[in-house]
Amino acid sequence: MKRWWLNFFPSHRNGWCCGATPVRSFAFSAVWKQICSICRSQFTLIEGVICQICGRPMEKDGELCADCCDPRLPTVCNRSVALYQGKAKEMIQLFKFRGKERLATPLGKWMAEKSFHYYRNVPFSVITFVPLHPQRMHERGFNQAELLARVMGDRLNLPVQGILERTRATFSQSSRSRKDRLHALQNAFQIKPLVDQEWLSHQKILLVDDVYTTGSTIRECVRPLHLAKVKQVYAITFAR
Amino acid sequence: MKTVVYQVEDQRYLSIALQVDRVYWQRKKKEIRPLYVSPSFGEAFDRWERLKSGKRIAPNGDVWDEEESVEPWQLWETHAADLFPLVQGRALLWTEIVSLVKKWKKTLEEGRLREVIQLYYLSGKLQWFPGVRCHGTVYQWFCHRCLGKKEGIFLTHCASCGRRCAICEQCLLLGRSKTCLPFVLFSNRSTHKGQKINARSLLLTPAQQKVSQSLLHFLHGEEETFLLWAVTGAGKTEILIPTLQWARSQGKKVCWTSPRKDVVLEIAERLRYYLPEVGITSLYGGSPDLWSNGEIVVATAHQVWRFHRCFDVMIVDEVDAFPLYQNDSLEKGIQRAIAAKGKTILLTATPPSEWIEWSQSGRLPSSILPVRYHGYPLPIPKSIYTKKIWKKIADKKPLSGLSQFLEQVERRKGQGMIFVPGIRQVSQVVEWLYHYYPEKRDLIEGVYSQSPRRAKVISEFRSQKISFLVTTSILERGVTVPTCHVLVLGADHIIFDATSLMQIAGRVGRSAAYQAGEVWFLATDKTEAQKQAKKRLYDLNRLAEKAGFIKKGAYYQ
Repeated sequence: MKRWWLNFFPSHRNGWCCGATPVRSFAFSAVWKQICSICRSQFTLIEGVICQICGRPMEKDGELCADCCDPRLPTVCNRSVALYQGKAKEMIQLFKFRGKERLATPLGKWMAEKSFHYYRNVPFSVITFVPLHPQRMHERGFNQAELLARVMGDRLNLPVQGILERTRATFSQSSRSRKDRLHALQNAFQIKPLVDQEWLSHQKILLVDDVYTTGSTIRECVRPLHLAKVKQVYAITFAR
Repeated sequence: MKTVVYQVEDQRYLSIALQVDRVYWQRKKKEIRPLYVSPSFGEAFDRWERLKSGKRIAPNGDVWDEEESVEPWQLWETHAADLFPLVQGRALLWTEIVSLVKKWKKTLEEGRLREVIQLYYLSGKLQWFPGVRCHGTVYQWFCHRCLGKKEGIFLTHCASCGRRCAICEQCLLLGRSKTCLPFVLFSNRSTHKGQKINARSLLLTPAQQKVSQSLLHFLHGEEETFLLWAVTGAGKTEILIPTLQWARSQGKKVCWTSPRKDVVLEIAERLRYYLPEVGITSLYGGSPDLWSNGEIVVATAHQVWRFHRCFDVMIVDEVDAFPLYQNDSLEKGIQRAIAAKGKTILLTATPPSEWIEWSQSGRLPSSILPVRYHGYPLPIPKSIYTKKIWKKIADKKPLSGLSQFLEQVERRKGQGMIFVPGIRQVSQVVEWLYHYYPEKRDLIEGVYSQSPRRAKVISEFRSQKISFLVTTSILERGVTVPTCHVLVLGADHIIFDATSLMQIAGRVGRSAAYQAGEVWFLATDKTEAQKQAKKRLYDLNRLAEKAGFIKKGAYYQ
């Protein structure tokens, strides 16, 4: 006989990762604990020693990676949850390209946990996200970064606001080479005309995106914010 | 997608390109009056249904802004006639229609395509529905594409239509089915032309010939469903070749559907060999043949959702296997793909017990093939009972049944498959084997469904680079290794039911040249499933013996 309380407190639930294998965890435990053991083994988390600026996993402590040492590029502080390979890549593809919007909840919560871990001392005032071009938005039906930002906002108790917008349609970054990516997005973003500049200059902003590859998207997003004299901008991405 | 409901006299119609309707009704000298405009197809469809059932809606029909460019009517008609052979008999989402048009390199931009589809609607060549119905209570929610109920449907805020839009996650991997885009069922108007088809010559055994005859008899008759119960390794593909040949010579369209992708690939290859003159399309996730028209379609069960009243003969392979068995949506999808008066042939090696009852009572016409193509009997499993199997394996204590199995396989120069109940046990057993047989480290591998090296390991096992494979029940069907021995470790686990055990036993003795293979069950308890599996295999052998098909001199007496 199934006890009635098992309806409310089930002994195990299927993990959100593959939906097939039961996981023994509580509904409020960390996202990592709600993944089944097989899927866990296919994630490569970013832990331990990282580049203090862009969050790339490093060999030695206290060093900066080659990209961040380049004086020509503006530096943006970024942290990511996992490496963009294996299961993490599969998840992002399912979420972004297949359109399984429900995945925003666990991924966003996971990012919120990481952001709490790394940026504990930063008093953020607002969360924003990388915008999509309206035409792309119409095709896809949702902005993946916005969904993640909304979940993070709920979790971190911060307001989520769309501050940026795209000035021109660019082709998908995922089909470009590294060199092209760095140049393709120049001046592609600007501050929305309705945003109050005075208000903006007092904010500490957390910028959300789904994937960090060369960092060019994040850097381009930060450029107009710096021009508007925003105090501090930090970025968080799910995978890199 | 912007959709309008309009009225002509007392009939209401839906339109996704109103300029076509204006011209169409002008030619018939009738006035049209737009009633309701919506950015979402689903919403407009709901209003149209409400009007049809006599309810009232709040009209907002005057806000439709006319499309500027109006093409001449003839051009629409030529486009429509051009496209129809490609889409007939299909059931497609809007995004799929767009990608089909792109694949065939038709120069139709999306606006033109809407006009063409609208023309089909007016001439009655299609039925359409919103991808997901999300009006009314949740119990009325419904994905028209995969015929799934509310369990897979989730509401989101859609930026394409600006409304609350529902998305079906059950068929997500085939493309997003959502409320604001139409799902179009094209009718099938193809005229069949029969012609004589040559096949490669086959040598059927007397048993196979008998079944093949009864299949042809069924196709001429009135009944609609036929159960072909043929044991594992009976040569089902070969038996069906005369059937396929006949169906094609009558100009009938045939679909062969199977739950698994690897089976689809294998069947397509074999059919191409036997029927070299027939165009064979294989459809599965990531298939290069997508959207091409074949005379015989070999498809996974999910791909069949993309057809509508298309096939005169539907062959459903491995009906009792996951995910097909007792999956309502897939079953309904297969029903939808069968043409009116189409025939269904169900193939299985292990029919569920109620089907056996139906066939015995004559409710389900059926035919049974109890013997393999080489005439040797089916191997009967041997049971070994040992206590605390999993504890012994975890603690790396000696387990005599497992070691004996390995030694016997070595002695008989075969390959061994060790089935375990779960993924966790795979690594445990592999560790145990490494501990006791360190010298055979390179010859032992483990595999499970989500293993990243799955395809590589299986192909290495097939090419005999690996001699022992520890696996979960994923390999219980569809793998044929000629020199195979099988051990089911923990055969009393609930996951191994009678059909599963019979399938596993069916891996052994597939080749006439190597009959030394054996099936062992290693378990703590004797379960009903093991008993049933043994009994059914024994009964099948008896049946074959009575009919006089069994060869003498086999290891089974």
